[in-house]
Amino acid sequence: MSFYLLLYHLSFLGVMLLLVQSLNLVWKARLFSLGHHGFFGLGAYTAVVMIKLALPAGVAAWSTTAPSQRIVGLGLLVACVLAGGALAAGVAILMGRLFAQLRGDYFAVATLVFAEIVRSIAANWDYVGGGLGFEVPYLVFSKAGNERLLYGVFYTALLLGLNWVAFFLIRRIEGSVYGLYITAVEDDPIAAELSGINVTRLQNLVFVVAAMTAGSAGALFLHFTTLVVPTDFSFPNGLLVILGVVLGGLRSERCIIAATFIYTSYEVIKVRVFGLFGFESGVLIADWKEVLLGLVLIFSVTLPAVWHRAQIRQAGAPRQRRPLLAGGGRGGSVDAE
Amino acid sequence: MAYLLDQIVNGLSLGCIYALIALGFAMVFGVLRFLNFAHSEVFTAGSFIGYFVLHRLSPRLGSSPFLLVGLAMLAAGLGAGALAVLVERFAYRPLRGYSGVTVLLSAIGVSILLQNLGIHALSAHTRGYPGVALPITPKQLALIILVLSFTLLFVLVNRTPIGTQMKAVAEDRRTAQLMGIDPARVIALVFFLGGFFAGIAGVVWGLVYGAIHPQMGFYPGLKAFIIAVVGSIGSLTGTFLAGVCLGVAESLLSAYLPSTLSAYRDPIVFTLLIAALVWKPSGILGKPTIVKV
Repeated sequence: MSFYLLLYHLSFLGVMLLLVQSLNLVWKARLFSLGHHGFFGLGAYTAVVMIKLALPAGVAAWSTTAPSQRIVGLGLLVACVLAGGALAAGVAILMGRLFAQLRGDYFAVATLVFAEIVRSIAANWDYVGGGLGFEVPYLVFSKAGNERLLYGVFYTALLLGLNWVAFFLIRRIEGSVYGLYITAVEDDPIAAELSGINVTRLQNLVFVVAAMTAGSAGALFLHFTTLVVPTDFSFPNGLLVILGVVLGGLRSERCIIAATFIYTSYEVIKVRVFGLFGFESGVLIADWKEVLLGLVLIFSVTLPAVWHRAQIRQAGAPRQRRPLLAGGGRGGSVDAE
Repeated sequence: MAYLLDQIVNGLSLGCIYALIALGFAMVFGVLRFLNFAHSEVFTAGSFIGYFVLHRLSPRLGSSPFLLVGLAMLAAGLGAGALAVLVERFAYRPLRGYSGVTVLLSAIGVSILLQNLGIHALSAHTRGYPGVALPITPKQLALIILVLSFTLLFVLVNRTPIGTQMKAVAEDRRTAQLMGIDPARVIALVFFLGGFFAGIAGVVWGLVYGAIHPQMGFYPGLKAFIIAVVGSIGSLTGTFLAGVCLGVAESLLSAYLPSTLSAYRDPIVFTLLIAALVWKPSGILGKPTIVKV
């Protein structure tokens, strides 16, 4: 693997980590959003519209040869990222208002439908390329010739730097009183409400911050790959993010490690294992990716439950009955009580 | 005027299919309080079973189309029901007692798995559904099937001991168990019935629209779930009404939307659905429930 390829994969990992980290925060606040990829798409397409407005002469006329243009390009990039985050946050505020009374499964479906609305509008809107997607110019560094390495370093530094900032901020939040509020809501929303925490406001706040992160990640992703198609944020791809949270052990910090694991093992299998058998790398694994995804999702949820029961039986303790119609309380999580 | 009537008939048949799928969602949600995401794949599976049965039998039974369609629907219903029971056994039963969201994750995994196994086994492209020379149109057939299914289910739930058991388990599983009901058996039956109607809906879909593919279940499934919620979970009449309303609304939208907006039919329908979900989370016929702490 060349150094450039490594950088390229690291940048992808950076995008993935931003999404998983922010979704994890949302789930911690007991909002089971299944539509996080919708905010990602919203950010990416906001950036597309920004580029269309900023470069009316057409994307072909743009080139990064002159240094002055690079500075303009950098400005444009920052503007796109901010706009993507802002629009996603705006929509999240609206959704927080509307969905305040929906809980659990209903909220999950409503957010999933939201993501599907974003995707199908993008797929039908000719102004942004419709189903074929939209290609933007390389804004700061081009990927041609000698500049390729510079391009790789730039985006890796940017994405991993942003991750560092996000991680640092989450740590700070957890140390603050807001962290205690979130933990209280995570443990028992009703008890939290009774202790004087405005649960709905807290949940809305977390939701908006996470949406903003996902939106900016989407805008950055667009300028990193320079191409976005509506299927980039279709439901199976959104599931990759959810899988990061689930594999980390539902609402635990280990989601970051889990996401890293998913991403890197996926790349390794794609390039190394299937490469060994002489398959065109990526062709076969792309076919079976969703099957694997489904299996991993089922087993990552059911196996801990089966294992937990077997452990109880082995210990000779009477078989504990969990609350039959669980919904709230601690019985709701996968980790052992 | 004739055009409007045509559109309403189209909408009614679409609404019948939605209502049939929504039945399965509503029954499972009523008993287990979780969203059975894999239900849309059960619907697709039923459609494909019907496709193969029709292909096999149409040379031999071409002279008696009602028998042919009846057999296809029976096979599709039984096959889809069996699939639903299998899914319940291996993906949901280990999670009994966990929160709805945990089971939902497992269901999403099953859905993705089945969908993509279908793509590998049957290829992703669209197939033409074999036509049957029925004396009535497929849309009329859809209406008849819906009325029959609802009558059957109504009688089953309200007039038989097994229906009483189902209602008891839905109300309070532990107390039902104390009364000598085996919840595992009742739950398996609920899944089977839901799958049965979804399988029949799959055949009707194929006959009405003439084309099927392994990923076709996603959109009808999402819509049917919201229908089940808006039609108040557990109320047969509500599900029926909500399904037919959505079907008619959708077909009127595609008929009367200006051409610049017609590509956005699905986003508009989904927005309407979310609005309905937000406006009436307890359903059109339901009363607001009080959550006890």
